[in-house]
Amino acid sequence: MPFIRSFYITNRFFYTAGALIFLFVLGFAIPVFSIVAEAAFYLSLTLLLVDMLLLYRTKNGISLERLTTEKFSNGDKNAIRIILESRYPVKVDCKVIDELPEQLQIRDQQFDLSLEPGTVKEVNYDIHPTKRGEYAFGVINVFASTILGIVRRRYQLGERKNVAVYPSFIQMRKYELLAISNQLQAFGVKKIRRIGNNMEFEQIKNYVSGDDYRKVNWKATARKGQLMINQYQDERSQQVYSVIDKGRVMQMPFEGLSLLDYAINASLVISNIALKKGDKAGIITFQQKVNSMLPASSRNMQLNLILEHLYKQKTGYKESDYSKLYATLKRKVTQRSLVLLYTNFESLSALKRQLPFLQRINKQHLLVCIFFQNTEVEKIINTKANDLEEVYTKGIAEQLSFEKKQIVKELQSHGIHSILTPPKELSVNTINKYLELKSRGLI
Amino acid sequence: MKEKKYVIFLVAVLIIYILTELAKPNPINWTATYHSNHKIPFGTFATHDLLKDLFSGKPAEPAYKSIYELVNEDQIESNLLLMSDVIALDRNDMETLLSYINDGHTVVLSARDFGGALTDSLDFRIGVKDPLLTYDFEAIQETLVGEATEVITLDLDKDQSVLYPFSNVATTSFFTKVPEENFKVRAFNEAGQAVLAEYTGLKGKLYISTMPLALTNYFVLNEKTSSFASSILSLFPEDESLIHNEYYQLGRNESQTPLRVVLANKSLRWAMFILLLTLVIFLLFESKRRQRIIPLITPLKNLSVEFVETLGRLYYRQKDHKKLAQKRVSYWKDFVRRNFNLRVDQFDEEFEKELSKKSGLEINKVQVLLHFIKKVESGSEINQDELIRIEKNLNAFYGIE
Repeated sequence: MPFIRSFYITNRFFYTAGALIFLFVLGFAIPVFSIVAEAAFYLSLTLLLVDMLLLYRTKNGISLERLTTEKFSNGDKNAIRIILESRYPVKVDCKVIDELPEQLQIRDQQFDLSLEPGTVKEVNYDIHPTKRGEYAFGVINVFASTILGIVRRRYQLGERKNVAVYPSFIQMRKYELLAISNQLQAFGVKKIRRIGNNMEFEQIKNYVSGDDYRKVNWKATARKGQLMINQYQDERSQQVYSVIDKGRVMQMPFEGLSLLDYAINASLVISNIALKKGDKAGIITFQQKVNSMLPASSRNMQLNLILEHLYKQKTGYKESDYSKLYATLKRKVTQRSLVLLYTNFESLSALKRQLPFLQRINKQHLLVCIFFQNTEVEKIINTKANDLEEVYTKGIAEQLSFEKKQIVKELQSHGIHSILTPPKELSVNTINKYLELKSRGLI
Repeated sequence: MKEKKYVIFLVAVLIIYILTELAKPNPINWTATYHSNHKIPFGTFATHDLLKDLFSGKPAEPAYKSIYELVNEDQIESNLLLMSDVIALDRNDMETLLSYINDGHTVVLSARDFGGALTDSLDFRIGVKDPLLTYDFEAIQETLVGEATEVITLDLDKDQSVLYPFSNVATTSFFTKVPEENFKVRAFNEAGQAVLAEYTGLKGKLYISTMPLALTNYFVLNEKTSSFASSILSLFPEDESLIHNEYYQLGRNESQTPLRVVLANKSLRWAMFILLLTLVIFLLFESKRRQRIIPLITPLKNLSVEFVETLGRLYYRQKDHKKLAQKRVSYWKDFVRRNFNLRVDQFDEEFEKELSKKSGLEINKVQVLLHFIKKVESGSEINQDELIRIEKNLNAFYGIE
């Protein structure tokens, strides 16, 4: 049975059979050919047996291993390596089909490579998950054939493995490094002019030219005999809450990833940066009620807690209830915090319904309303309309886009900060806003 | 484990089915085939045994060709026995047959019904009673069991006639017209109708019988009627060979497949078998899975474009060009304000120049665009043509290719 199970046939087999049939039919018309055909038949049969012998004489002719990271990062490319080794005494051609997790919906992935006797080769590929959760890899099917290429032997190798896809920790690390090394400009994070001064005292240090002489500490100067200066730092230990709306509006996908997952990825990035800057990061998620709350903290464990917390998020995409959110914030978050609210408003009227709650929240906290540009609609705006109906469609698209900008204005007029961003640039724009608010000392 | 259970269940059901089928009494096949190898009641296996006895161990050969073929192609010199439900010879067969008999051969034709050229040229007619008994198995069985019999008088020798009680199944046919000048009646039923007649107009002998069943296993093995069969078979001269031609009941006894031409040629036969084998291999091996099944998960769809298109169509139906133009202008004004930091409440010459400078669009094109925008702003009606020209000018302004 294992022999039958692993036995496969190539196209070459069928081409040969076709050629033989043709020869025999030709032999019907021209009798000489039937001798040729018969000879060809026995030759083919011999070759078939030789091929089978070559493939099946070597036990465990191919061995391999699949290497993956323990976790995958959602929305990013995650590398997978397959290392193959051949023990065949002859060169074999391999078709490698990895049984990918079903979430990826990839059915046509196949790698062709040839293995010289006793060599090791690598197959590298990336997968791009767009959903959080467990991803189950199956075995790896390797179809080996010799240079004769009449039959194939299948090996089912490698082990079944489950890999958890987490919110994008790759983005998290990327922005973390950039935020620390002040290289965010390259990614669109602009340097904000500092208005006013930071008030939190850090240390007294020697004056060097260029320092602000209004900050000279005269007492220390007198003691030391040379100019000393007070140095201040950004205020620390402020609370940053990422509030994620898990309601109906967040279901819309852009490039395979739902807005919710964009928000989750951005929350992770911003929480990490906040923690690195010495602030406290927390998470609140809500839909028809507040589903979960991870209180802001700056403990060592916090980033891991946030990661796990975000990983677990599930939603029914219900209609979100902002009054419940307001009540929770009022009761549980007593210290003035930066509240980054990830949600989506498609129209001005949608905003107006929630505006009273947003205003209330903004009274106690610093609220930043983050919502999304509809890049699909922008695409319509940026293409030519060919007939009258398309002109109408374009006009409506422009109106929707215009309305989003009006939402920003409406929020502005109520003193609420907002970010209107394409989903792809969410993380960058959020960091940008955070750094801006921080340096302006608004929290 | 679950699969095993199913397999066991299936096997058990199969075994029970086979057992019940075996336990069922086999229904008797009452089909009249007259085939020399059939041991069913109306086959002729026993008849051939009887023939062997009558002809001192020489068996009668079965043949599966028309009379024409036998006589003209195979050049036979034997006597002929034909048994069939119906014998309806065509003209060629009949002429061949008659001239063959005229050469001094003996032929016995036995059928429930005759037709075609033979009845016409020899001028006799056949009648059938109880046609149900010729095909209905239940009726046949009942009649045979019920022993409804008809006495047949066999009159081969002039001095002495013999009486045979035949079941009605065997005596459904009889002659209705026998021209006396050419025929001698050799056997008749209770009503005096002939069931066996000898044609006397030829050199050889031709016997026509309407009781083919009398020569089948059932009646040959029946003690009471067995000697009727042997009497008829004894009409053939003992020292001459005999052919039992089954062609008119069974046809050519060869493979009926349409592939017989292909199978007749060696090359084509090879090609055929390779083709079939390849197909089987294809089915067996190409249908095997190469990787596990991946269930279909329909991804979430972004319906924004559909939404916008539907809305657009809705407005398009209303054909309120003015309203749409106003929407487009307000978007444009917002664009200008946001990107070029220009006030959009007055479109004077100053504004034209500034806009041209900042947007990089030539001044005359800006003027054309502003002409339309002013028109929309003034609240006057916009027609379809203008709306499309506004679109073109806006495209130039936004730099949409």
